[in-house]
Amino acid sequence: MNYDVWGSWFDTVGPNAPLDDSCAPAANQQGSAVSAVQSWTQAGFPASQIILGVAAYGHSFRVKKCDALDASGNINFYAPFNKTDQPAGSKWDATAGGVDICGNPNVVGGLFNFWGLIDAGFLRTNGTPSCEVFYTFDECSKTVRALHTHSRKYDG
Amino acid sequence: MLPSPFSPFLTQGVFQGVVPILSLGGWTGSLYFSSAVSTDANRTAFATAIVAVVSQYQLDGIEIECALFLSSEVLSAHRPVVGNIPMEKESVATSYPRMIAPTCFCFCKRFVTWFRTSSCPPQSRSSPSPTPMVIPCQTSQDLQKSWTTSVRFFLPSLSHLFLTMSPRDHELRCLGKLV
Repeated sequence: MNYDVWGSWFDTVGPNAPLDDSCAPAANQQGSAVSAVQSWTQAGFPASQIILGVAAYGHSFRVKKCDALDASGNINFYAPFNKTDQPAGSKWDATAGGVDICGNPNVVGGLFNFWGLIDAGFLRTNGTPSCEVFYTFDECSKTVRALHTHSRKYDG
Repeated sequence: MLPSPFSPFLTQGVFQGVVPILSLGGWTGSLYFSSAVSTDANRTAFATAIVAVVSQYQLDGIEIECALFLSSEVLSAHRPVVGNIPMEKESVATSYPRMIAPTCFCFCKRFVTWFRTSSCPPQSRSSPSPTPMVIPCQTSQDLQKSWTTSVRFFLPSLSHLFLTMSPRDHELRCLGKLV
């Protein structure tokens, strides 16, 4: 399960499913596909019997513009976000109201998969980013970080 | 068709010895299994989409993950059980939207039925005209056999098939590698 490594329960934005984190700042090495497979194989688990789950969705966060970009105008990979204002995810995402089967309150999930990004206007129908989206690629975690400048939604 | 960033990713993984499989379901995704199999049209669309994705990316397997988070007491009070297997009961899903196990079992049975009874599209037909084996789905073992036989009918190159149910009172069920 190499996903939900970062999400609304964290203090900062971060990659949902980092493929690698050995190249990330030490404080942001929270686990990745590389470190997980390495740990299991070092423990003696045959690599051929490991099933690695790679997520096809991302989490959304609401981030202040001053936090979203660094001094050079680049997207801050680990920006703080507003925990009290979780942006809604795609149409199939969980919504607030009532309680789940465990008795916990249902909350907005904020999850987007690929078609959800198109549906929400982050991407055009041909998969390219819309003109309102500023994005970059984190070469370490292999994650696209997209910032919707109008809504200040941040999806990673 | 969209330009896919997945193809080079998959190619590199396969080159490194990774066996790529499609995984469906999970905590949120399991909520949609019921509607995905609720009508003939939905079943056809869902199964066709799976076949298309697996074929397009030349994946080696499918995993259906059914998430459930209920105690055995709650489950046994609201569903009939044959052996250790929860049987289909539509009213349960209405009363408990997150109660996924009966829905999943229902889904699995209906999905197998779709594979068994649908006409085989020419592009998916393996030669010479296979006749899928009809196996009554009464136990988890029967279900596994049906899945294996039925899915292979449409995707003969498939090497891995997993049916994962994760309720608290059920063991993890994996079909594993198809032999």
